[in-house]
Amino acid sequence: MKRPVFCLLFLAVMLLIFQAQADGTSKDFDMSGFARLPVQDLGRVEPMDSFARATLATVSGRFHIDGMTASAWLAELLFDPEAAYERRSFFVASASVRQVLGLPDREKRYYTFPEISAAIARNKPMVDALLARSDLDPAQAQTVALYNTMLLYFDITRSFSMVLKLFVVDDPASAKSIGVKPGAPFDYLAMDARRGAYLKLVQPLLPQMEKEKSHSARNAELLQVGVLLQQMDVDKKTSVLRIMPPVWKTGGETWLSPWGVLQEGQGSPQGTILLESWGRLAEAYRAGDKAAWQRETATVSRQTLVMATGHMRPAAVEAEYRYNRIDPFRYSLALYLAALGAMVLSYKKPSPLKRAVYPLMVSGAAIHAAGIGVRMFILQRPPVATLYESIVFAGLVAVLAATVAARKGGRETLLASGLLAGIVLHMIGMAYAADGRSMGTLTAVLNTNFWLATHVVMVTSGYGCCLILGLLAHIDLAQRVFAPDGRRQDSTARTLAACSLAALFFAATGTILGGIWADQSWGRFWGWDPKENGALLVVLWLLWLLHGRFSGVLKPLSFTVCAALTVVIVALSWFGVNLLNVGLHSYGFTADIASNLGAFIAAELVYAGGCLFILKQREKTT
Amino acid sequence: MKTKLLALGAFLALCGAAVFYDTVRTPPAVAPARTADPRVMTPAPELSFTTVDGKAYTLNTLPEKLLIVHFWASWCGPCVVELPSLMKEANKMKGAVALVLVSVDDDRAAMTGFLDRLKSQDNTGFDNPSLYVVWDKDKAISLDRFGTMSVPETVFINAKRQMADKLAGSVDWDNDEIRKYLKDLAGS
Repeated sequence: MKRPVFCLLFLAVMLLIFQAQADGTSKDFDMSGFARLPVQDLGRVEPMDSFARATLATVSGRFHIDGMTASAWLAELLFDPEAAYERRSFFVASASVRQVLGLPDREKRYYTFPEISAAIARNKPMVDALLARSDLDPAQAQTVALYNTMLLYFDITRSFSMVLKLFVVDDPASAKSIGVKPGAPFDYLAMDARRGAYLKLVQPLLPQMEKEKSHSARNAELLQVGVLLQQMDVDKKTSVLRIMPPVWKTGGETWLSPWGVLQEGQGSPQGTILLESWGRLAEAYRAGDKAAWQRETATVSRQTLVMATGHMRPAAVEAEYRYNRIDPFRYSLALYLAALGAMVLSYKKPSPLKRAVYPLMVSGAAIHAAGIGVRMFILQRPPVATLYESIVFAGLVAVLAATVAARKGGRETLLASGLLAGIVLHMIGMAYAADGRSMGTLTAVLNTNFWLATHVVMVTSGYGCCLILGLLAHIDLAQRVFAPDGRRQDSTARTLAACSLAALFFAATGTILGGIWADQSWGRFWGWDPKENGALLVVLWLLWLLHGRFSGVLKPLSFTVCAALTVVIVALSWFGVNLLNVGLHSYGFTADIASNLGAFIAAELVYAGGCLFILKQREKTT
Repeated sequence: MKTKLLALGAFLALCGAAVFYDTVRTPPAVAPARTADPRVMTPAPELSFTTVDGKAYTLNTLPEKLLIVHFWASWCGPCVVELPSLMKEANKMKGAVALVLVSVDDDRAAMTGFLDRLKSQDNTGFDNPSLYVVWDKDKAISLDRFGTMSVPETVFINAKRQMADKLAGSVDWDNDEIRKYLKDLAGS
């Protein structure tokens, strides 16, 4: 028994370590240092890798592209925009958006930045009209989203334009007048410092230039400098890539983009040195100098950490980088799937696979719990604060509850319920994390670790127990229909009642604690807010179910059918109330799930109703 | 059963205690609006400069306790408005406070022309021995060393020659709050 467990754990650990060491490369550059550099995004300091993943997910809808990691893709975007513009990064899923914008039909539906920007430019009046409206249909909303993604992409490509040495003046006389070395490339900052000298040189030449049909080499060069200067003046508005830690108290806790530092008066001697290092890093990338890339990455990292002292936790940034690389929930899902597979393959027959189910499930739960633990360390908050986290945590609660309860009997059905809950919630969680921003910052009302640790954890644990209850009832119904066995049904009925009690304990305690929190935050215990009503709905449903069971009003079959429908009540409370978009719990609002939720409820009603009908018919005939 | 009831009771008591603590605890004090920030304590850059009257200095060896490095330009409206009041305040604290006026004008004549006009209208502050006027040709000090692209901006360097604070944008120098702030910085 011990050998397979150790083998599995060893395999899992080796996979995790191997994955952690594998880093993506671009142009054969080692991206591990770059991916670890801190950056602030949506108010949170995170590794560049997280920022890159979220950005790539926004643009392309995935975390890898053309064999490159997100960090490698971002490095190309920042330091070699010309090459990045050639890459088909933009994913346009909607056929109607492609048609409206006149994008060519393509099997893979990926487009380059010039293709997207040209299409937007062709349809500028329509896009402007859409931007002014709030009542957009899905295709229009996707068009606006594509426009915003294009702006985001362009903003990022111009982040370092001021330190890229893109200016060059070859003519010795012009170079002398401006105050630069002839033929030596220089950056925007050097050019901006010599703007007065440049204007003094060019202004007298302008009348002559206007008359010229073709400019002399000298005049053409001067005009080119002016055009580049004008183009880069626009870059001053770039603000997305916030890599400069705050130095002055007027900056608060807000990190700024390189241009933002200069524009918002947050420049400093340290910041100037850091920007110079970023400039050298960019030059190393453009020159393909791997040694310089390594060296400058280390320099930028060191300087940033010194500047950011007190504004970030380096260990948390490192942990998040490793968390991204490992992606622990992928492994816990794989182990749950393996356990379920082993269970199915060994169903009703003696097989060595049967012995592997429990160790596989426990190993999955261990990795699942470790993943949640690492997130708690990174975010410095209890395990559940967002909808995504509630899904992941409820999955763990369901698996653990099933694992623990299985020790007291009903082993197979309980383990199957736990595994199904773990797998389904992992998959829903992955869909929610597809935007690459699963570690968002919290709205002010949620930002209290005490209540997150009590109310939210209790309510989510209640959801987890409800799911076990519902899935157990589903399996029981299936067994009644396909393999009736009176003895097993009695045992399952007792387990269902125990699960209902556990779920009621967590749901009721969590709801009462929520009322106390609401009293402290909003000055009232109860306000008939949709989210509050949803929590109450679960409590009332479970109370009704248990009263019906213990009073005998609900016969065993009816109790099982109602227990199976608990998942519908939970889905309405968990996700359904978010569709209303009203109430004080605005942090939980989600869109575009109405159809999925409706389909789920319909399927559940058909399943429970169908099973009830078949079993009642069978009762009548016997 | 008894153990379970005890565990439940303990859990509820713990929740009650935490709620009580959360209700009665004193909220953390809010920092005063304008005080020297202890986190900004990086050394001031090693920097040599030459004033418009041709004298060479090193920033960190100036004798005054507090250094006010003020970036401005004669073409900048807010700079022109606030400069006289800044010079007056610095003059009141001469000996203790050095005022380093760094002009980012492209044209030296434009800067000296403006200062000459100011001197003829209001002489206050020009006889301050702790006044250092610098023309920052090619923005070698402002942009290359202090990361200043917009004017006006003011950097404060304390007696330990550490970067104490920075104010971006124009400031009303003729007010008690800023006087107290300068005194605090000069004393720190």
